[in-house]
Amino acid sequence: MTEAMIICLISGFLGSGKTTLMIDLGKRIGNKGKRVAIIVNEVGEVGVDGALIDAYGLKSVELTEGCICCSLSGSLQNTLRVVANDFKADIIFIEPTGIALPSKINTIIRTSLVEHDGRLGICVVDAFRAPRIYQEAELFFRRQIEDVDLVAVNKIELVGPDQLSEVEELVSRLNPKAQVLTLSAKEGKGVDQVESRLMSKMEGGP
Amino acid sequence: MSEDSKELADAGSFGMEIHFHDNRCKKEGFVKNLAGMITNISLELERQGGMIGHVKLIAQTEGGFVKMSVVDTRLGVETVDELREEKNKKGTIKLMAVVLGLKDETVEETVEGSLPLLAGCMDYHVRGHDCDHDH
Repeated sequence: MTEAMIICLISGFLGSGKTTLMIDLGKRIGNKGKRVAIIVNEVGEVGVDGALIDAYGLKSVELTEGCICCSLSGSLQNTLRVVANDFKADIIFIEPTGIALPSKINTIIRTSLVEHDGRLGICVVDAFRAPRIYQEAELFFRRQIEDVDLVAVNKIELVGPDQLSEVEELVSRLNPKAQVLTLSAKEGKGVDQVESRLMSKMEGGP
Repeated sequence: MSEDSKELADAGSFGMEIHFHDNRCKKEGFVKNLAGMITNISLELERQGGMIGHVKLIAQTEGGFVKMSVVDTRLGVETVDELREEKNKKGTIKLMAVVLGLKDETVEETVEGSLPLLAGCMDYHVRGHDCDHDH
């Protein structure tokens, strides 16, 4: 029997700023006395993100050489069970590769039978590159946004108001049910909105 | 899970761990050297028709770390510099590139082709590659 906990999936296309946002959220929530665990996945043989997360003093488990939504699905389930049972986390962040599909990871989490009190799916979107990614990798862009609770439109420091509005409109059209927030993870601007949503979830909110 | 997301994305990737020693450059030159290499890799991947997903590295030494990232060459290299020391004689560099529209082998060749740029500062050794000196 595991303690009550939240699982937060932070997905998003390659280079959208998932790791930067997650490190900031992990530090903020850790500073509130919560136990934070991170499972990070890289498509290649070498883990850069895990090394960075560790360098900031957060606890992470790294899964490399494949994607947890397909080739490493079994590894994710095993790792989730170990982290849930041994670490007794209040929140487990899962950062998949930038080409992972949230709907598939949600299925893997459900079938892992790891007991948890809530799940929040966040998709990080790069406001600067979103139009090009939508044009060149529409399938991924669409499917990464479709199955999440919150879309974090990141890197707002790189775009003007017109492009930001276009991106907000695009993601709202692709997932009308999701909450859309704008932020700059690099500058720490707007991250408090995501933190509030997570804290609310940890307290039994939506 | 029959869908392979890497195939669906038509993505190629390559990662490597480099051990360096005898770094002759001070902090500023060291960071410039790494930035030059990651820029060269990124431009070369684009020249071959790939769309950069993410090219990133983290160099770790006893005196801290520096992380670099390229997602779009128009934006240049984004650097997080947490190196505390002027001299960073030895350490490791973890480097990863994911590119849409290129095969793994092409990404690997491109990354390896840019490694000699490191020699401007340091002696290095790629993990898994045989050599006869100590690290």
